[in-house]
Amino acid sequence: MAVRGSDQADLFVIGGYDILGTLTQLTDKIEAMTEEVTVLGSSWAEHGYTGLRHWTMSQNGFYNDAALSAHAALSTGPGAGPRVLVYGVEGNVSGEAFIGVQGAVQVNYETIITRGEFHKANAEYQANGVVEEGRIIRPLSGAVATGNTTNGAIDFTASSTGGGAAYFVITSLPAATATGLQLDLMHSPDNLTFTSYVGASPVTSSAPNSSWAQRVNSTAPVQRYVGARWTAGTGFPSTATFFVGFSTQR
Amino acid sequence: MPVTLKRYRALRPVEYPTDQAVIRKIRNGEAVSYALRKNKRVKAGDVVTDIPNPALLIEKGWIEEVKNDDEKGGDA
Repeated sequence: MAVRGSDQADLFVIGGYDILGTLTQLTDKIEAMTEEVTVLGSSWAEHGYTGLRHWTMSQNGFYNDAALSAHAALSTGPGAGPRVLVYGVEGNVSGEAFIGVQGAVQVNYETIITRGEFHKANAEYQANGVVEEGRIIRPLSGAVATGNTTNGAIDFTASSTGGGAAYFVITSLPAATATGLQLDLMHSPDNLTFTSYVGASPVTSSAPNSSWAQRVNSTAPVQRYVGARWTAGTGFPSTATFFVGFSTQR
Repeated sequence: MPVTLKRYRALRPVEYPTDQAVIRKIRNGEAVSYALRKNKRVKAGDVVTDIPNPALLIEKGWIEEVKNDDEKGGDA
């Protein structure tokens, strides 16, 4: 555990849009939903936890209308369906923590134009489903050939009987690679022999859509060592950029 | 006297290194690049003789031992 700084906030992708480069502030809040349970005769109000938690996030940043940037990511968000969101504040590095949101519902998009300042673009989200912490298995970066990370598998120190959820996020996929990029989460009991634990649906579009950010969970036991594998048929060597993370349920 | 290698049938697709020097390095905790690992890919049903840690993988249900009177599956 360590004190962290803004230079380590190195990952933010909403629905396949990598808009980290436009952001200046993120506010992530998890609230316990409570109900007042004070009864007659009490001298202090009492509140009980109802068993529900509520996640919200707000982002502040610069307006940018470049392709795949903030305006493209956010302008049609309000009223659209939930999107997978991943972000990390401990660096975009294998083994570090990230937060995965199964379904981020964008509730607004705010642009602010002020004399003498760059335009600003802000948005807020609420969760539709799970918000969970996991570990980065394959940092967000490019690949130009089929490969895997079994050479640098993440050691979870023990197998998990509760299964887990994998986050497969693509942020760039040239048309040449969009012949069916297949991402898999691999696991192994001994760091030698690996098999696929879960796989994302193959991605065949070079434009962002729901297949660019997928959460795939399983209740099957997951073994101690976890890695990622990517294959793209004849699509490589065009660079594809993607991320794989995993959250165990223990 | 000929050595008879034990044979194992993959019950799911698996991949693993076969180079003993690479396997030794990984067991010693050394990093071995993807290129040097040269993982062998095996389909479910294939029969192999070179898979590391077979006892552990049998316990996990990833492979099974092939007996002489139990001939089926593909080639190693």
